[in-house]
Amino acid sequence: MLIEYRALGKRFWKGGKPVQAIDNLSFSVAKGEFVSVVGPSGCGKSTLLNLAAGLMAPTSGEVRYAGEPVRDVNHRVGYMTQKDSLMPWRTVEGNVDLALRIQGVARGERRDRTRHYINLVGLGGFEQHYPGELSGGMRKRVALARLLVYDPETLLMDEPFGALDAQLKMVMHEELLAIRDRTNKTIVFVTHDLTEAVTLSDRVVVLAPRPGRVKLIHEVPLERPRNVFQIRFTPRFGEIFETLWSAIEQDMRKGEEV
Amino acid sequence: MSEKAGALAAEVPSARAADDALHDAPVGTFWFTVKLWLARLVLLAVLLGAWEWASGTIIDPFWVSAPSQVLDRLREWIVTGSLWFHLGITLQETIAGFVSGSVAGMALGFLLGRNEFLARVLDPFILSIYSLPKVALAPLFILWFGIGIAAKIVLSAVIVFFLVFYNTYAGVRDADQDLIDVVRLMRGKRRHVLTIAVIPSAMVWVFTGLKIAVPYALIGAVVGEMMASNKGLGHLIEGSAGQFDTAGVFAALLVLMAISTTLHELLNRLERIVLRWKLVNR
Repeated sequence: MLIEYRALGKRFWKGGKPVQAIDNLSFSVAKGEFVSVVGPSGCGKSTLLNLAAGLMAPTSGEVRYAGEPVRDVNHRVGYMTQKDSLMPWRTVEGNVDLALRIQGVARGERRDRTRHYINLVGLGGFEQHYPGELSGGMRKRVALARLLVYDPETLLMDEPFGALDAQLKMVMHEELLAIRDRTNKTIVFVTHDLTEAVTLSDRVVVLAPRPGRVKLIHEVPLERPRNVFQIRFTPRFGEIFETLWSAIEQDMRKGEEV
Repeated sequence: MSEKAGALAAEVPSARAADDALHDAPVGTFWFTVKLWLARLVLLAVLLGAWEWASGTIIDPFWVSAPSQVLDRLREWIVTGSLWFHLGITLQETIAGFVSGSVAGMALGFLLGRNEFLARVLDPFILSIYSLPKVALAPLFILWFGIGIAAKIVLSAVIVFFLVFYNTYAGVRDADQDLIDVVRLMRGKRRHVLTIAVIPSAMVWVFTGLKIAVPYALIGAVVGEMMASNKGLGHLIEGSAGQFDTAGVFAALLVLMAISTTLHELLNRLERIVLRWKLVNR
């Protein structure tokens, strides 16, 4: 197992009161697996990614990466946070080539790779624009290019396509799956879009909120490579969707009352 | 209706004024700029005219001089070359004080901004020196460094230092942790975190500090000159006043004004280059 959450607990302090964000949560992600985490807001989805990235420490239990407990920033993962977190003072190109600069990749290669991924996310021609000049969806795509360009072993993605329109979303899905099939990357993908989760994943983890814990883990035994445009219309897809939806639905309604 | 708006404008000047400016004329167009400068020139002419008229009719020119006399005095100083000499001295002190004070302020600001423990250790020390009126240190500096330009540079630098230090420090503390994490996850070392995330983010604050510090750099130099010196614009003011030459005092003040606004404008231009990204973030 590449990523293991073991009896994980995470408590935050909010206004002097402890809030149990995650309680006794365990599941693992195998190498090369695509796992989506879904659930209503407040179930600690983003916290799970922060823990795997080593940006915060669990209150109890542990997170292991490749057999080792995660103690510090985990350099083997690339993390696309929910906020796009672009440097407003760097152009699109300057944001995308960040990791390559840090690695000291030679200028020519850096430029080629950067341009390739900028084109891939459909932002060719915007290389010299600043993030402030772009729409929310465009900024998300810059963040995606910035993540993919340096080829991290594992991708942690927190609602990466939330701000995109439906068509572009599917194009991005296709691209992400192509990259995955080519590189066999491990991907942990947080979303609130069930269709997206089923389309992309090998397994879907449904969390229950307050405190966040595993409600259901469901396999998605759909064949790969998948056609992201048509797969949603297959009967098998519908069955999986229904199962997951009924698991989430109860908590969604509860969430509204709280 | 318009009267009502006027009354409101008097109550909340800043918000109303900005609002009116937006609705009134298309800001930034050619004709707006022409109108703006025309209005400013008219106001200047009226003020100078009133001064010239009042001097000798209402008030004794001995106290307020007159624009024509001030110009005469300036012309005289230019011809004899004394203006350039004194101006050069004051500029030298101001710029040397400003640059050394800002560099030191930025350096310590970045250091303490990234090192919270050290910041807490030094906090009471820095605060107690900061709370001192810095000009009160002038006699000490004159004692240490003599009546040459060194004492003025040090005084100016000390004043500038605190302004730039506190702004830089606040700017560094304000750096977005998410952006810092982005760099760290990419295997960024300390220096990468600084150069990619922290310094560019703090530059906005640094420039605010630098712009506030410009007139204060001048204060340091001029106060030093007035206390003990035989050269510089401060000495010129002190000397003119000692001879009851109000025209000379005003002439020197005019030159100080010109220095201060020029330096401020230079910084503005530099800011527009360094913080280019801010201009597009509208």
